[in-house]
Amino acid sequence: MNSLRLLLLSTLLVVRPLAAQDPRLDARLAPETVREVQVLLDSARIASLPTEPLVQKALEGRSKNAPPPRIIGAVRLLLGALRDARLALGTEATASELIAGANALRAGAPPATVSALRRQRGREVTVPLSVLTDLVARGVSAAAASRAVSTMVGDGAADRDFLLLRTQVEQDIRTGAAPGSALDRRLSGLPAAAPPRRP
Amino acid sequence: MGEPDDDEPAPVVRRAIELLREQPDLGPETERHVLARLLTDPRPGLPRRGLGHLAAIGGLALAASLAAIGLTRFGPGSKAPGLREVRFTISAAAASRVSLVGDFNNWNPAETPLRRVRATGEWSVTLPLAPGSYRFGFLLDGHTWQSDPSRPAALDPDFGTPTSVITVEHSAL
Amino acid sequence: MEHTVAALVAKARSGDLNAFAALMAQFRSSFGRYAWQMLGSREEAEEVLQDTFLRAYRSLAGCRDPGRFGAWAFRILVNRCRSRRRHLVRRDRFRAEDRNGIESLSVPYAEEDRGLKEAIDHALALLPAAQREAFLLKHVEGLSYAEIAEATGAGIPALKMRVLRACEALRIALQGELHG
Repeated sequence: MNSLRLLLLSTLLVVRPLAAQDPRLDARLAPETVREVQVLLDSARIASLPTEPLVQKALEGRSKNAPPPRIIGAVRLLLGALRDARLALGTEATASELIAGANALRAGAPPATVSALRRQRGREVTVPLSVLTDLVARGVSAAAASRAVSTMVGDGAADRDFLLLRTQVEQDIRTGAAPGSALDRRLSGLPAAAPPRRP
Repeated sequence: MGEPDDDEPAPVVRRAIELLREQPDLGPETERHVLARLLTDPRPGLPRRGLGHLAAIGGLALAASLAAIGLTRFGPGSKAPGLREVRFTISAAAASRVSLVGDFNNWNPAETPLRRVRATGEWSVTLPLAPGSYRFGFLLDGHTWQSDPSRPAALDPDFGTPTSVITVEHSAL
Repeated sequence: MEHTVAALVAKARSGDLNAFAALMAQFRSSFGRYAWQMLGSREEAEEVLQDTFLRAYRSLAGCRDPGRFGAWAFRILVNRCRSRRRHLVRRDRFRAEDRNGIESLSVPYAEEDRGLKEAIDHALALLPAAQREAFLLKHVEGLSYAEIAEATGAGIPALKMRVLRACEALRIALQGELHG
């Protein structure tokens, strides 16, 4: 029922300090940047969206010496994706689902697909969404990954089935298969094709 | 639960009270987060026993979710239930120092230095991580970012530097 | 029920997290509802609720009457809500009008109740914090005045006055909302 994935971010929601500002931001960012990021965090809170991914995005930007406008822009983009995920997944969605949903939308999954997954499954879709994103990260097209995950949800697949698919596709890609073909073969239940011969 | 000198509220206020009592529950996530925190954040003075009989308490949904986050299993060498030891390695022969930086250490370059393990220039570190997805990269000599070729690239680098994603699963697949 | 709570507290004290999980399950609705209505935000309420349970667990040795764990833990919750409110007010983000937004619309109230619920949320937000505390603890959470006194640190006569004033303010704010 509940998320295997992205648990750390959920856990970090617990450990985030409740005192005034987030001291991690105060310690690393210039005061003007902290103020701007805080505005975005406040917006997230008011909209019942998770704030930890936004904090991590700001810290990532700092560690990469990004100029403040770029940091704020990245945080804003992620906040937008979280809002879109909320629209797609509804008010019942958990923080983990919202984060997974935001990542899937940014990977190119159509919002209608994300909504449909949630509706169809009737329970948490963190893992299917995370696997969708990971497949795209491995080179599968967003359309193919979305179709695959939708089909599996329709078939009543459990979280472990999605994780197994991902592991198998990754293995096949490492041994030389094309991402789309690897996905197709695994979905149809065929074992991995022999790696292509190299000239 | 009326007390002797209570004034009965006006009808509209009574209706308000009824509606306020209907406020929906926040859901069982609170308990999962609290238990996860209590298990992974040891404090002196309070013994903790495991959750082997959780299902017997009657919260089957809670039991399922705790099982899902690995709190009923121990990985080999784990510091605490649910955490898995993950090894990060990178080949960087020319570097004099390498650190691992990502969502799991607040992107703090100082927090997780790697150790050079052989003369061939391989660097390595092992971290206990809870199940989840993390963005990360390697920082060489404090100025050069490098991704992890053995793991998927992050789809949205955001800051134009090579970034990887690692997913840590709980032990039962 | 008293018996069960006392037994769970005793087990939780010896480190039995199963027992503490059961305690949380019993009190989560009530605590979460109070926190949500005091802070006006689901996410704030979740954070405060988690913090409250963590503190309760870590200070369980101080719960002198295990059968009354609920009232004892309520005191922690009331204090955490106060602390969070102070922070939000200082940051000038906690305005009555913010509470009228997404939060009250995201609950599945019947159509005819939505207008009233929004009006209630708004009226509650305008009450002085001490009156809102007392009103919620007395009439929504059903604590006795003695329990509210323990949770808030205020004397019973003062609490009764706050509850009366809160009810009067709500009556005035809501008159005209109740149809039929």
